[in-house]
Amino acid sequence: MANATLTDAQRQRLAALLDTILPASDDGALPSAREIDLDAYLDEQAPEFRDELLWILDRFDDSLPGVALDRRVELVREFSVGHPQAFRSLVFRVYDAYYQDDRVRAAIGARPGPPFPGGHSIPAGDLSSLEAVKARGKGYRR
Amino acid sequence: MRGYNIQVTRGSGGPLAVAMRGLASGDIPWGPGHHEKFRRRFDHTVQALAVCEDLPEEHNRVTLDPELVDSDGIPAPKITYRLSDNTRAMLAHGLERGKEVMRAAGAVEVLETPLLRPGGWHLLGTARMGTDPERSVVNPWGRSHDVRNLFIVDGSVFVTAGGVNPTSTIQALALYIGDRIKRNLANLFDD
Repeated sequence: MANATLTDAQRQRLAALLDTILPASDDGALPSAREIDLDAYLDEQAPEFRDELLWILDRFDDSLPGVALDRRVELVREFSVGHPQAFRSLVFRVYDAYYQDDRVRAAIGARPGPPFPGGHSIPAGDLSSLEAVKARGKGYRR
Repeated sequence: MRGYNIQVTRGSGGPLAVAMRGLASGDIPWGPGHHEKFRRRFDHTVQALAVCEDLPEEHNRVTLDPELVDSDGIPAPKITYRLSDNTRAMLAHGLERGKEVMRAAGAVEVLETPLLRPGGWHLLGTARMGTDPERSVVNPWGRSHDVRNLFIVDGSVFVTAGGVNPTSTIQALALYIGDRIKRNLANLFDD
């Protein structure tokens, strides 16, 4: 478990950082990123990011969890300016974990298949839409 | 100005792609404003892309990098690519037509990205197909003019980039050249 490698202080900084990058939505429909299981995500999909995450967490001090969101945004923005590559990596990992979370996906209406409601769904294994293509025959010159 | 194609795609990828693209463009911020902007974009977007036919311009080429080498000391390929005036004109024209299409379709907001740097800039050409060994690298069935047992079967035999995504054409070329090899097996390496 990733959190097993974090101190309590680092864990609190991580939670504050996640909540700053993606706080809960005002209507409560979407959770804060601090509520998703980032640990399981890192274990399964991005173990190589752990060292960089620790490095990022150590760029913030222990006061981060105690300050208001507006101030946290300022601090994270300062970090993003000073370390753009690391910040981009962090945001990518947070977004990647967040938008794979079942609760988040249900809330935003994400589903497999075409993105528009009621549009163009094709039953699995149904290749009938290719009949017109097959009927054209080979198209390249001999 | 040669032709280009406007490719219209529904949606703009899954949620991660939408969020990351929005981050890169500044349209969907991280932080407190993220969810509101994300909801406006996700599942409510249509894209129109101008896919242009780059002409075989000599300033675009692949050479050996004079400095960068791999672990065995073999030089890396160096790709030199610069947009020509012709391509810039096509992109500008396509952008305007794309916006017209979107507005006519009832778009409530139209965003534009003049040059999509992380987009699909397909690498095509450099071993063009043709009948004249002075002006081409492979013959009309993919065999090298200079090395007769060498066949090149990929996007490098394109004469121009084409105004569409190239995979279907590359697949058709593979079928075509494979068929030519099979049919000409007895005299494959003759003149």
